[in-house]
Amino acid sequence: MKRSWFLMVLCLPLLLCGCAQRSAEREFFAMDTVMQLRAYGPEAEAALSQAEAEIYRLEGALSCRDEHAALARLNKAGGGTADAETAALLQTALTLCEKTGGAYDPALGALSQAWGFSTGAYRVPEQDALAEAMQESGAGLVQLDGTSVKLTNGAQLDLGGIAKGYAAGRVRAILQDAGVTSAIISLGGNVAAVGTKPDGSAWTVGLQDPDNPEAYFGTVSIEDACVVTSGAYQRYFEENGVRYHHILDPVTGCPAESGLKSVSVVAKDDTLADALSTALFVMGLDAGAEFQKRSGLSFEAVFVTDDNTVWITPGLAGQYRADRPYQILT
Amino acid sequence: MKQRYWILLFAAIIAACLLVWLLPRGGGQTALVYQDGTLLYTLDLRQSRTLTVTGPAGENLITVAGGEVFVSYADCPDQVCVQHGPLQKRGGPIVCLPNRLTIEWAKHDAQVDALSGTGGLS
Repeated sequence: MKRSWFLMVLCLPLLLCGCAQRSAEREFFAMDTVMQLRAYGPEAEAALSQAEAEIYRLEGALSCRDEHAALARLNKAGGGTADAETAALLQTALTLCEKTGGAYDPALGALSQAWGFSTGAYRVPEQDALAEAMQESGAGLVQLDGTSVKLTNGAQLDLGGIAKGYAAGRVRAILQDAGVTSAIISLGGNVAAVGTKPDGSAWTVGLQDPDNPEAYFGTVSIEDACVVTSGAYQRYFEENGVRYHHILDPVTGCPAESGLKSVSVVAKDDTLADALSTALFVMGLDAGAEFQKRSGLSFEAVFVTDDNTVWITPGLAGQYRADRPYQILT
Repeated sequence: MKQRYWILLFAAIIAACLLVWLLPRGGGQTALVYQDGTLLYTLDLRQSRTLTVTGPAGENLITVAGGEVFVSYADCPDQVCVQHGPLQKRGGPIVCLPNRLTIEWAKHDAQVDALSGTGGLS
């Protein structure tokens, strides 16, 4: 009797160890950034391999720098026939451009080149060069008819503002199709979650502090959703003591000065969230908050203003946590 | 006599189990060094050391001292990883894009599941 009791206790650690879900992880570099994928469950390992391959495939298809990529070929030739996937994504981009009143614009390639953001050769463009780049920029120069693309005036497509979001959506779909019910991925800071944590609780996503990018200023809890952040604090260069960041305002052709340090968008749709984080950053707090109420698009947002005030949209009230004070938009 | 022997063995096994469970959690902090997704080092931050990682753009010198880990030197032009300073408890990984290097907390030491930010470092 005593011995069987002893054996039962001995087995206890083994049982407890068995409770830990099997998990798989991947970390690699693609699309010019770090990709981190983590999934749980027996299907996790195989599903992540598929997801990794998909990201590499999209990197090849959607790059506007790699001259062999489909998008780069369209840019070089001033249009042509796009593959079905590129055409569909371009359609989404043009629709979002229209809905945001042009605050998100997928045809700012010429401006991005003038500032050197797409090449890494950063410079403040001369007046003439800026004016010329403005002439060659804007979704108004893009015509899409089915899969047929026409770019007038040398317009250059740049899907960089939604490519990571689209990739995140594809990864989530692949993981779900493979039967994964618990996963979290970060594609260069674009965070997306499949389901909940293995224990059934929501995922906690930190929002990077613009003044101290190694830390976060608050957290958002999400299930089956994504969090995408746009900010002026990491990709920038300085010339004559002035800081120039990479988010360009289509109206001025210059880095957006909207009084914001960063915007995070929480949504179910990854591509939408990616485009909207850029659009809201360009719009600023007042116009962005108004847009969130009136657009009819389903998303929530966290704004950090230049004076470090944090504003959240009302729908996030139950999901946002922070030590720092914050304001809820009405 | 025999009974005492069993009790002793039983106590020893329980103690061993507790030790295995508690050590990696309660004891110090663990940082992981990855290059191109491959785990290169598991660093116990209680043990000071210096190590060199070589990548496509040159070398990164990683220093563990005073319970912190940071990149003390890098060959690359942008120096983002050096300027990052020590790995923060409430923060994201140290990243060196040119050398495809990341330094991050081991899972049980991280306070959030992921960090949403601009990510595109250069």
